[in-house]
Amino acid sequence: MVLDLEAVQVSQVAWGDRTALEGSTLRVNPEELRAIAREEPTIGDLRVELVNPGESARIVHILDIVEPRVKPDTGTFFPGLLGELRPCGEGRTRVLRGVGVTLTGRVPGSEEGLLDMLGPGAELSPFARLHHLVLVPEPADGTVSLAYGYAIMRTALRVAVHLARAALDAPAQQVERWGLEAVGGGRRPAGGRGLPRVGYLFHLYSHGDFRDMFFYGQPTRELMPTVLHPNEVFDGAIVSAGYTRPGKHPTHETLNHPVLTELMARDGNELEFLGAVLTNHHAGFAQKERSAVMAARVLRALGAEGVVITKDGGGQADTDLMLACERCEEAGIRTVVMAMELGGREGNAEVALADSSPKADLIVSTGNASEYVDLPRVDRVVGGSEVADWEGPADGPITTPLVRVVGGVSLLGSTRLGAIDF
Amino acid sequence: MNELERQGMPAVLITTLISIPRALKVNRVVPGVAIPHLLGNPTLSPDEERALRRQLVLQALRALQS
Repeated sequence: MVLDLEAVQVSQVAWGDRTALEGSTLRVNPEELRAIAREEPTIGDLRVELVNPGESARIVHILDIVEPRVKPDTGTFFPGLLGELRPCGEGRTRVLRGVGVTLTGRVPGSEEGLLDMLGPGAELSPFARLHHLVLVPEPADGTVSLAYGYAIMRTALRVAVHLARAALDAPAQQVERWGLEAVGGGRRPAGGRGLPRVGYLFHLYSHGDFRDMFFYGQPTRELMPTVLHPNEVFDGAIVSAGYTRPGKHPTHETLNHPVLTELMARDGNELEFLGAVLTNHHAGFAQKERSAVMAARVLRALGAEGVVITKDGGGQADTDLMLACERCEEAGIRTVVMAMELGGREGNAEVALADSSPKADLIVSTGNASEYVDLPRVDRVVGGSEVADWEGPADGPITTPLVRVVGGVSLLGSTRLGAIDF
Repeated sequence: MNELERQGMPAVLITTLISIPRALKVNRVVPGVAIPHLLGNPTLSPDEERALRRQLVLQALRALQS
């Protein structure tokens, strides 16, 4: 299964009469994007704002950031949501690098997600380097219904595809070829190359309405562990609508999944990568226990000797990490757990993970979500007029837990913060 | 929880994530329904849900007497 990601780099974004790519400048006609929103009757109005890297600006109420991508042969993307529900992960995909379609708004239970484009806040997040087309939608009748929540998600995806279409005929600066034969090693005899056989267990947040990730267009709240080819992730099978968890995991990050790209890059030299197992953070405990049993079983069927496990949420997700770790270790599969910590304001909390297990003896921290950062005053605020749970003005200096800076801590490891021994 | 009991006050915890108090050696734990709705179940009718709530609270009270 071969996927070519044809990357077209954008160095500038500016308004224009029509949406088109001129050299490395993306011209955008905001009226075209507003017309896309009019396909959804529950959306009353859509404002579109442009925010550039290095600008003294703060984007607030971020729900998701989407990287523009499109399949040249169908002109669409995100199977099951926009495109036909067919297996994805093969052929060509156009990628507009350097641009984010950034959906903002408040939905029931949504946690604040903000991004500074200049200063110490910008240093914390890889997303501060993107040119953001910020979508600020309003519901038609003033009510934020579930239908409206789905409508704004679809609109952000449609806008992303629309922008990527502008790059269909442009020369690609780079073509990344991802060619893992098949999940489970395909034709290869077990252990034939003498490399450790490694899988990846990918948890998705899934607690119901406004708190779900989508897989091929469907919510994942009832998902049982299933086999997933990494190319499907790069090709839009997974979309974020999990707005209520601390630590956003934007669709942009999933499309460029850091654990999958690193494991794919090491396939055949350091390890034999068997592919991924997709599972969820169920809302019930018995279902969590069942998912851990089934995930270990699927990994075992793939022939895994080791597995990398990531989470997609705060404290409750630690229970799934530990249950999966225990069931895998019992099945003879060695585990590495990657986890965002809730380690307290000073980083010295007694427990940094809500759950624990003696079997979890290899844990990689992806950052302390509860550390606080001070962000200075900015000239412009986009996406809303206040910062949730903050009494001061939205453009003023603010103090915020790191977890609210989108990209400040990553659940998948693509953070700009690290630790060194000295 | 443990501190309350050490001071002689029986305490019961209703939670979905029962592995966490188990690891912390909490004495009395009653499993709740689910993380977003600990004492409710949106798939039940209002009457059934009231009965479910009553049953969970009575179970917690019984645990306090154990």
